[in-house]
Amino acid sequence: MEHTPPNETLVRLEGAAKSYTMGKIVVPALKPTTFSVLQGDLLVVLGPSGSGKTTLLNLIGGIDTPTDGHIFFKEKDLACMNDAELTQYRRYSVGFVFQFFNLVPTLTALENVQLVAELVPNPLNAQDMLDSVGLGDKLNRFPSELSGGEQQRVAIARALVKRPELILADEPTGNLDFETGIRVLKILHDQAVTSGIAVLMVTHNTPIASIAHRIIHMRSGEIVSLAANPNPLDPEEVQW
Amino acid sequence: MVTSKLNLKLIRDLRFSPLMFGGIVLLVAVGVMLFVAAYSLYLNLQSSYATSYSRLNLADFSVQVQSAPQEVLSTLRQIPGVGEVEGRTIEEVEMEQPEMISRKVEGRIISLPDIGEPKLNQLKLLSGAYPRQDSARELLLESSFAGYYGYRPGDSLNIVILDDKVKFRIAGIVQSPEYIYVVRGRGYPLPNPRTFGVMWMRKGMVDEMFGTSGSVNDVEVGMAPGGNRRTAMRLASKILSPYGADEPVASENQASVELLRLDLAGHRRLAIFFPILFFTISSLSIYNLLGRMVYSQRSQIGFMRAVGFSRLAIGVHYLEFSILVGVAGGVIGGVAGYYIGIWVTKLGTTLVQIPYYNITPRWGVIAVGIISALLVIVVSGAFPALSAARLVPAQAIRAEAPIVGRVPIIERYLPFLDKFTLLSRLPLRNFLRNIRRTVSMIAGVVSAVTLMLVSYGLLDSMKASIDFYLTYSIHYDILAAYLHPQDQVAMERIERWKGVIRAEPVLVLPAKLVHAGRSQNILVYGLRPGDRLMLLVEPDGRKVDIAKVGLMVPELTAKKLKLRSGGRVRITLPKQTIPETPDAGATQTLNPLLRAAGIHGPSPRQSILGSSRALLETKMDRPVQVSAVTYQPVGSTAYASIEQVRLWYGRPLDLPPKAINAVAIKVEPKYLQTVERKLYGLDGVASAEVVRYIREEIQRLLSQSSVFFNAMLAFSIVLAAVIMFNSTLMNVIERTREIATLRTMGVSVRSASLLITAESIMAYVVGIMAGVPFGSWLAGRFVGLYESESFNMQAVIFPGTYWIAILGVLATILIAQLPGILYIRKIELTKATKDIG
Repeated sequence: MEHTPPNETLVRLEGAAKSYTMGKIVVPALKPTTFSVLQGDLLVVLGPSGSGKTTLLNLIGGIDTPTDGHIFFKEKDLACMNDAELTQYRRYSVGFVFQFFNLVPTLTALENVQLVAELVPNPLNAQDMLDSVGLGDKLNRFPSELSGGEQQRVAIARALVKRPELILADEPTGNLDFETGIRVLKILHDQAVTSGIAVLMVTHNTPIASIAHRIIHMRSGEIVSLAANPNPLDPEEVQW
Repeated sequence: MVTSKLNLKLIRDLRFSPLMFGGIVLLVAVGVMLFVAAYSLYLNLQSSYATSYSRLNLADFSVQVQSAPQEVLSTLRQIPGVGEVEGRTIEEVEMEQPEMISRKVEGRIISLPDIGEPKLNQLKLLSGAYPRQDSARELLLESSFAGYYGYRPGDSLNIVILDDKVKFRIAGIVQSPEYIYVVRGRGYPLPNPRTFGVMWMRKGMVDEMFGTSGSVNDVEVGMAPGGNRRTAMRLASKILSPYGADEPVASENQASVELLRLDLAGHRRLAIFFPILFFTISSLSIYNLLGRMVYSQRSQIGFMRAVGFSRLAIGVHYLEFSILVGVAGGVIGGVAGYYIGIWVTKLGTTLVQIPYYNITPRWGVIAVGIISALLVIVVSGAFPALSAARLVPAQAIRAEAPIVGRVPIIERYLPFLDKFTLLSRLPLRNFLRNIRRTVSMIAGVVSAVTLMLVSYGLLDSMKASIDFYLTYSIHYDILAAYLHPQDQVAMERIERWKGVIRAEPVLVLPAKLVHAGRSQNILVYGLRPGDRLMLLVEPDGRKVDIAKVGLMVPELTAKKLKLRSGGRVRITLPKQTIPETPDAGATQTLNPLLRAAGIHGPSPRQSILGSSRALLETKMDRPVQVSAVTYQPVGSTAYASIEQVRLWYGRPLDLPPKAINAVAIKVEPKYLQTVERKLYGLDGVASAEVVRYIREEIQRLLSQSSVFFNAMLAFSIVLAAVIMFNSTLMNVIERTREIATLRTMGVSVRSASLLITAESIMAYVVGIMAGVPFGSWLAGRFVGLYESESFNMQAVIFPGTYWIAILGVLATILIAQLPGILYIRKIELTKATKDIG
């Protein structure tokens, strides 16, 4: 995996837009958007439902393609990639964390992480990853035997094990109680701060934005503000 | 209002999965169609036979005698319960056909009353007229023989009587209730119009030719309404005993009647077995499909229950899916079965000509087919419907219950599986994840393979038995049969003919074997030890030579008489000249498929019988040793050295010292027709059966039966395709989010597709492992049902058939993956990864 120098631009959006055609009506999900994600960035996207934040995340993650504009990952345009190239991009560069965890129910916690580790040539140790998220004693539990917070931590370990350069988390705490949510936030925060992985987190939970380096506010499919957070809080200080 | 909205939901749900529901409708339809078509054929044939027997007044029983005065018929009429008694003279003759190369065939003459028509065993006149009542040389000819040679009223036919050729005019073409299936007697499983024909003449003409005036050798008896047939048969036997009477034969044991009855039983078995396979798979499919639907609609069900829908309304709503599938499949299958039933009945009636057809729409069968399908499908759908009705709203309205994972036992006991990547082990986990679906997929494979092996197994067994008979057992090209015993010099003359490679003497005579209180009439072939044109094997396949001493008994006879090699058996002359078994309970079966295909008798050996008839006038009774038990697929004949047979029969029958009555001949291929023609030119030769013609005839008729087997192959493929298509698509749809997540993490479409295909392949492998032995076993059982005294078919499935089944189902399964793979390609990752239900 290519090493990215500190603070170098990892993802760059240039007028990236997404619209859906429903019959004769064209519905803009994301209006032309321009901004960058830097290496080690912890970026939180805030906005109400339907504001376009998940669309933005999907476009950056390469599971959706823009109808207009460009999205560059390390200067390679995702809009020009075919399905196989996008698959490679997701495999080697991006880690996803979903609101509903999306673990494979027939695999244990360890196996879920190993499954992804097998996809890349030089992964981290799956067991170490689960240890690092506090699940070293539940390696052989199946998802149905884990709580929601534990499942989400497995999902984070799964995202991290392949050494991604970018983590995309869609409402990672949306399905968790407060204390578990804080624990998950801390893991993501530490990845950005200590490992230099860029983390782009989508949430509608405003207090979470206080841990971000930069905060994007979205409404009606467009970015209404993008501001740096001069005093990011430690996740354990966050209250909601 | 509530119901109408649920109905709207029903229709929309059906439209959401049209292919999956359509697939099950197709399975149900094929099952009903097979049942309706096959069972209608069975009933139409049964009813046509019964109508023919009734309208043509088939005798209730018959007794064959050596010779009885006609006056005895009046005594028989006095038996209480007897309605009608008729005496006939039946004689076996040789017929000549000047225009054809095989111009000698065996014929049976049956006498008609001098005036009018018979009252029993009446004839249906298809064309022409009855013979005149004067001494005109006219006869009636049985229709299948006439049809085979193209005879029409007005044509001539030469009959050889005591070496004189007598020309007869064919007055009419007829059908007889005794010869719907034209076989010589109960010892013969296969009709052969090429070599055997039946004709009827006025009694006066028969008497003039054979000197039988004032006597009969066959007595036919019809019972009065309410008469006790068993008592009448006993008394008739007693009255006719002084005249060399054989055991009375009840109408149901008459050769043609019995063979047709056994044929019908075979039709009935097939008509029930194959639809059961389809109904089983249909029920599994609907159970799975509705189960999945209820599972995926849990929140909807919870909502409906929460807003006031009753349990009953919910249950009925989901049950309606089954009802619709059952009704649609049933009606489509019923209509298709109706038309196909008519078609196959017509096809069947071209192969067996029945005097009176009774082909009617079998509404009852259609109704039973539809109702059975509906019941099976509704019962299968009732379980998911019940589980929907029982869902607790508060639980159902929540997100789906988590799937409980567990390490499969197989992984625990096969630690080397750890060496494989998780991605490659994932299919194994998923294979064991939904046991219901997995079992259904395996059952689909097992059923498809079984269907192929059973239907093709019957064909293979037929081919193998006939091939064994014609290739391994028989090495001669022509078997020439003499009307009277000859000296072996006759054979030596033939051996010197140009083109004859080898000629071997044969002496064939009928015998009755008695052991352990049981008896069986059989033919004894006398062959020279060391001769090579007729080879024998033991049941285990080992070659066995003709022993100088003792009798070699066929396996089925050995079973029946409880004989074994080294034991002793009594050999006597049968009362009858035509070897018919006196055991009324003995079965005489014939593969209905073989006969549905119209396969006519391949046994050249049978033609010899006519020649032995005149010989049997004295008695013989001696114990002989059983030197071996032999396997014979067709026919039931014992073997001994020709010297032994001459020794046993020589004195009682006054045979010449070196007697033969047949010659097995090996001929250079280019001289085959020349030798055949020369044989027919020889005086005393009754027939010359050419093996090549028999083989060609069998090939032609086997190819006709390919319609049935190809249809079964197509149905097997439909079965496998539908079950695999539904299972794969259900599997993919159920796991949309999981697959989408894998794809989001970087698993390619190809890898994801391989995961799903690997699961189907696992079901396939398990299904093949179970289906091949099960199908082979069942095929063996089916083949075994057709075992009879004269047909000992061994269950054989050719390697090619296994490969067709194994590769055919594999190809079907791989093709059935395509919709699932297309679905994987089209999964919207953005939506599917967030979808929780």
